[in-house]
Amino acid sequence: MPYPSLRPPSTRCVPAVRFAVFVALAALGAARPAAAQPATLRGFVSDAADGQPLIGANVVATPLGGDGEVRGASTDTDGFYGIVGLPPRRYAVRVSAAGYTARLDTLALVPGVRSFDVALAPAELGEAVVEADAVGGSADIDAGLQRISPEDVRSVPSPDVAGDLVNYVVSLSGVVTSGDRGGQLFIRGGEPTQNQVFLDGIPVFQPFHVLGFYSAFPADLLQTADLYAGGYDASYGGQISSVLDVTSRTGNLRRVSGTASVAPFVASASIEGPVVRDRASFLASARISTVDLIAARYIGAPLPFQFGDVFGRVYYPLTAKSRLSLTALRTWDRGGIGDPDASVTAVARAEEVNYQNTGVGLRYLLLPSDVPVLASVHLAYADLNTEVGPRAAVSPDEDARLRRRSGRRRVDAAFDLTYLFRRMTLRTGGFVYTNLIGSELGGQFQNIETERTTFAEAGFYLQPELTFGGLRVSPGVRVTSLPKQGQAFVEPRLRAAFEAGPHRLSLAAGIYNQPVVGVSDRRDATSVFTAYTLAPDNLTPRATHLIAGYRLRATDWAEVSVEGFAKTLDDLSVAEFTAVPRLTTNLLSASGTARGLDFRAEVRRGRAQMTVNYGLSSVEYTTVSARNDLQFGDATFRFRPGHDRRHQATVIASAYVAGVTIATRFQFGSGLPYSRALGFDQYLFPDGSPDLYNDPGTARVLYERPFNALLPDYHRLDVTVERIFPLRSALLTVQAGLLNAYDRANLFAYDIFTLRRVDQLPVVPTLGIRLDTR
Amino acid sequence: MTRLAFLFLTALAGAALAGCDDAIESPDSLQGTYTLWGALNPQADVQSVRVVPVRDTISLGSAAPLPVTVVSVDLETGAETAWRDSVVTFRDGTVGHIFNARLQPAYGSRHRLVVRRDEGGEVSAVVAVPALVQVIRQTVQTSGGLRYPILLPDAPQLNRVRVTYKLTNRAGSPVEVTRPIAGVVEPVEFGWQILLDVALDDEAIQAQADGEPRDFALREIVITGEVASEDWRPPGGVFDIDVLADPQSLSNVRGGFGFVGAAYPFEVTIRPTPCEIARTSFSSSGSVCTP
Repeated sequence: MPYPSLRPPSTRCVPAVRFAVFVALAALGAARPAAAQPATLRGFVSDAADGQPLIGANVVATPLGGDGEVRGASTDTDGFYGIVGLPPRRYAVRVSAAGYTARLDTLALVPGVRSFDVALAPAELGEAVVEADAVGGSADIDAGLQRISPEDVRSVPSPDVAGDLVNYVVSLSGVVTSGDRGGQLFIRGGEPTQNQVFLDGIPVFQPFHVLGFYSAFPADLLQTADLYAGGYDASYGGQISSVLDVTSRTGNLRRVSGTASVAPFVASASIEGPVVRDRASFLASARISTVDLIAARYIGAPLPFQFGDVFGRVYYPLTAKSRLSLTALRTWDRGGIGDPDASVTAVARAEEVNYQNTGVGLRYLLLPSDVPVLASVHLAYADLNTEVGPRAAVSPDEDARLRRRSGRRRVDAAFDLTYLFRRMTLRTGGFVYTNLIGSELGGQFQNIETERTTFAEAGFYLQPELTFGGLRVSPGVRVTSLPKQGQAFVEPRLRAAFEAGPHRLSLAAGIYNQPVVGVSDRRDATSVFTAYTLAPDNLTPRATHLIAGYRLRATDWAEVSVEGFAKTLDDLSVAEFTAVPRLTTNLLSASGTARGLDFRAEVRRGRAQMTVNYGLSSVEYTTVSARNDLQFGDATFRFRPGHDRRHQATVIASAYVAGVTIATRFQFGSGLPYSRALGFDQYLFPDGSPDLYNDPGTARVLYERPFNALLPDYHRLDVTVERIFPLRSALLTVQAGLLNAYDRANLFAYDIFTLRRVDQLPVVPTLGIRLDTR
Repeated sequence: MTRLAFLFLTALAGAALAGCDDAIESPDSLQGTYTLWGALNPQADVQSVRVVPVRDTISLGSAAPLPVTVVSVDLETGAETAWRDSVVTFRDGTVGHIFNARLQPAYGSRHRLVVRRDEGGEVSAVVAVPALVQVIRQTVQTSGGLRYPILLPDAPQLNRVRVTYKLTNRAGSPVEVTRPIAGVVEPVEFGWQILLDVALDDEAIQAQADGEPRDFALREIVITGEVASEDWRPPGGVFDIDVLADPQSLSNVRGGFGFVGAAYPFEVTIRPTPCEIARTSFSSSGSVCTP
């Protein structure tokens, strides 16, 4: 019987956590099944080579000796599966996963819960391992949800050998970026501060590095990443645009291995291995930017970016029924985003931003004996500090006057329970988040002075999933309360899918609220500073999502999908329009709509693949104000915000030819709206006879209307060529590439005050090497 | 598949070589357009107006002569006056062109200020000088405080109305506090009315004069302001710097931007009686109210 040898004798180190789980179980009325009940088959599927959980492995139980229903399940991000309601009898149980040798066992099930853990061996070269889920990729989208694998990330040309999650995410239709610097993602009409990102359950508030190819998630650390471009279920809450839920690898339980790489933009190293063989593993990684040391020198342009991250994870399968993992992350960024030659008067564009994320999380996973339940407890600490100040050296007084700071800290305690029933899976959980947000802005930013707020969020969610043949329906609800503020949100959610042969229809809908808002000056693309603040009582941003999609898996190597989405957004905050160029401004309340259609196609044959993504979308904001009437002749003013990219297309192709992997990516994005200036003059406030000889006036922008013009289209081609050289005890990978291969002058920011443009990177040849120990 | 990738790359290269425009769409040029700021004053014999050339970028400006001729025409008499350029460098380094004319417009007259470009075309503004109005002090209101109503019959517009409290502190030194009117400044059926409510100024005086009102003896109240041309009315009746910064929100300049109005100052001096002072938080300078 292939029980994995993951059996430490004791769980004494986490009695409190276990106790919490059982309290939660008791509170929710979990009961032992009666002896006469059918059998439950459950367990974990892992990689026999390194002991790591296998996601998406299929477990199929076929009754032996006569008729009976064939039942199956696939593993989740923990490698867990569960099949409930099996009539007690003998079964042929087949466990398979793409890239692994399938395993077939015969089990005699009796009433009660039967644990059956399986370790699958990686397939040998040439072995037939065709699996139904072999296509995957961006076309396999399920009502806004896309599961991203490390292989997906590595298929995209990258400036370094390892690849990074964000470099793939920006290839997806519906994801608009600020360019190759700034680290800002706008997902299906949402703004960067409306996205929610998790790493192993730890919220990471600004995970994207200041240079846009990089995030806190290098491909080497990635087990899987779920990107919900909207319509996420009730287990997520607190943000109104999207969720990126990243699960890291657990580290090798069998042997020590490591990697090291260097490229023009980053150098990285990682090591993993058993702490105690087959009982506990670790994974550690560090990256540091080499932009100023290498890339900036041969590009010949100032690239004042420094960033880095360190990551560590310890994974401890305490028993066959429990798992404990501890994850820690630290990131740091510093850089001047705007025009490096900006004049002193253009203070905003001569700024340098720096930010640091810190996150620590603990997760305890438990399968209670004889109860078809999966329980987990999360504890997490997350912290973001962000600061912006003058890039050039200025006097201490001036520095103090111009420097602004904001920070956010959160401590999470949460539990999740997954109850398995024959036709239903019930996921539920509860959470308490303790938040601290603070800002020191000196009144220079959005009229906020100094602010420090502590508040708690508490709540629970219910998300049952019912299955009727090919139909899955999962209605849910999330209830969140902010007791100190006297606010409560009840958010209904729905996810559903119907699969019939190669066809899948999917649907998602939900209501979302965001109590903590990030305030940025979106008028200035070079200003990535965000101040966090608690939304006023009656102005909590709120969104309603509706997503409907169709996916066709025409063959086992080709897949297409089309998905439409509509979002309504209420109580957003936008900067008030003013013709006086200055850094501070008041906020206007706005509502908005985002609509769009994504088309995706993916073909994978052998070691070649091609992906085509096209997105058509429209984002419109509306402000209603008496001031609009004075300025624009109508109290209602509608405009396209600066991230409304109407057309977006990406083509990714890669192939393995003569021992070399060639990867290309072409991206196109139609121009983004901006407020085009007709000219500039001096403005003398006409509240009386002007003092012409003493009042110089204020520089003024002569607009037609805000966001009335479009910037040029964006397009570029990236190409990489990669070859792996086997060495005695290592693999040496050499990658050469061209970023922006035809040297397109893509705009990053346009200073309407000086008519100076800051372009994204020109053509950049790259050469990276990487060593993997065997 | 490999062939497909090759074709794809070739197609992309072709598209790239064919070239795509990466230039930022330029608006119609406003070169040769000017912004005018100024106010004609019938009480002065020299008038000034600032002429700001609209530029493509923000800059400090240039002292080079502007390629324009500035004249004004009295629309009642037809008399034309030539204006002369003067260059001013302000403290922040900004360079301004201020055109001056030896001219004293009559009360109630109308003038057309014209900036003629050397290469043709013009920017102009028609300015109506307000008629001379009387300032009438109405009966002081002493119930529940102290309020001074003042009427300016037929005044088309009042701007920048301020009040100055002339005080004496306990050491006998004079102290002055100037602030916008606390109370009401509004158009009425016969012109404009000012209603100064002294009690509303207590806190402001305390902040500005660094002491409680009772620490000061009230000697005199001076109300100042400008009687302005009728078109000098801000949208919504409020001088909001952001709203008025919108080029279209308050402008009488044709072919350009800015605002040229006409205004003259007025002043009302009030010497409160001891009994009136007794209605306020101020102390009186030795005199006692004897009703």
